[in-house]
Amino acid sequence: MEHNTTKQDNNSSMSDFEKIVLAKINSGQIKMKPKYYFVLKVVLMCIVAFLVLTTSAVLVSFMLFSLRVSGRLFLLGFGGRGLVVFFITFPWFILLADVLFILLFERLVNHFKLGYRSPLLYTLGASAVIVIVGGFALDHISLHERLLHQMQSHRLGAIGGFVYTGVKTPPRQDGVFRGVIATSSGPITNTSFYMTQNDVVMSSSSQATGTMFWHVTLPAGSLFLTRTILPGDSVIVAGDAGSGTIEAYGVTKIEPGEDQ
Amino acid sequence: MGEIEITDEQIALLVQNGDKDKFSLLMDRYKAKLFRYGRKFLANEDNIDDVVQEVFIKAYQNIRSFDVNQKFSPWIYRIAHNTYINSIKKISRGPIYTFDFDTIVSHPVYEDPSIKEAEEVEIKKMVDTGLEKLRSNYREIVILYYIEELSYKEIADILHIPIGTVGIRLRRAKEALKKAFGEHKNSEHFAKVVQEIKE
Repeated sequence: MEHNTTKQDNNSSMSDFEKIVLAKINSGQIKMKPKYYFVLKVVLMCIVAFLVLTTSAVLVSFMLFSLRVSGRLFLLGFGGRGLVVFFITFPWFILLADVLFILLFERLVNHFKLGYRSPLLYTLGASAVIVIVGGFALDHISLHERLLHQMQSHRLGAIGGFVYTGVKTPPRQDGVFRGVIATSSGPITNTSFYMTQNDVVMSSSSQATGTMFWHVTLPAGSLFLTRTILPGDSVIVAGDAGSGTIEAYGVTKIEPGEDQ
Repeated sequence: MGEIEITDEQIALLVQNGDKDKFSLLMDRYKAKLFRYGRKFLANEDNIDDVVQEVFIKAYQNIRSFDVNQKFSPWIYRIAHNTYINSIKKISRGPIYTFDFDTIVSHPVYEDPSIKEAEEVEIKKMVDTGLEKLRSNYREIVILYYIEELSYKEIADILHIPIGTVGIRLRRAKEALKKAFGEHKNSEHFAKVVQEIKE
């Protein structure tokens, strides 16, 4: 603690600005803010920081969920082209939102000694780790699967419907198709097969979904990552879609639980 | 008249508990320091009285946020720092502080009082001629360390930066100050300052 000495000097005079400040204090023009104001401010900041971090973790978990159920995650096994398509179709806007939330959290934490005394790399790194671990934890408890199921049962409301509609079925131009092997439309061979694709968004305005039938062909050089496929198997097909046909560069069977 | 020994923190506690008049003691103790800090930092500020007045008003309004178990000095300097920054922002067009990459990683801290003592005389001579030329963040740290004689820890709490960053920024500030001072070597102004120092 500092120790300073004051001398009571009969001849000391206050400067003008000191007189002005004291006059304002004594007249009530300026007042001390009450203690509870500062306590509430800290509590509010902690709540906001927690909400920001939680939102960020939810976004991470949604990103993982959407990559998995849409089949985009399987693109990583489809060679160079799959890798390129994966990066092009990656939900970068969600990642950007996440980064912004982490930066916002950093600004809030900087109000406290623990925040500003630590180098930025450590606080950002710790925040990112918390968000990623939280995201994986939320993904593990199948949060989004349950919300998707509620959306499909029309129990999620408009916002939920907007978020989850089409998450299982990416846009056609992404070139990733999730379907079920069908035999009713033709035989299964090493170079072609038929599949049905459910939950396809038929109308962007009404968000109505339906089923599509595809004839999948596998030209030379395409990656068929499963030895055999049988009717009823769930598959991910990556390729260029035409009118009722897909020329695939990668096909893989989804094992039970692999996309959950 | 007898001397009364009372710490800044004890005075702050009395003010927090409603003894408004005691606030004049804090103003008395800090007005010279904050004027000096403000004059050096703001450089071109004509209404320094108004700005320092604003600091004390804010200090009074927020006195109940001060933790009496901590040192009072960094707390009021922090209020002064924020007030002076806002004052600069009002007249400046560009950003006051660009992003400081020194806050990204940790830097080793080594505060040697003997080095500080040796440099102090030299730096104080340079301050009058070179300070205006420095960037705001360098100017401020030189003032806080060499003029206000605050420690790295106190400066870190005032500026809300890591302690290691204080050291790095101070080193860069000294280099910039020496360069600015060197540029004046052949100027008439420099000759005048040297003459004044000798006298």
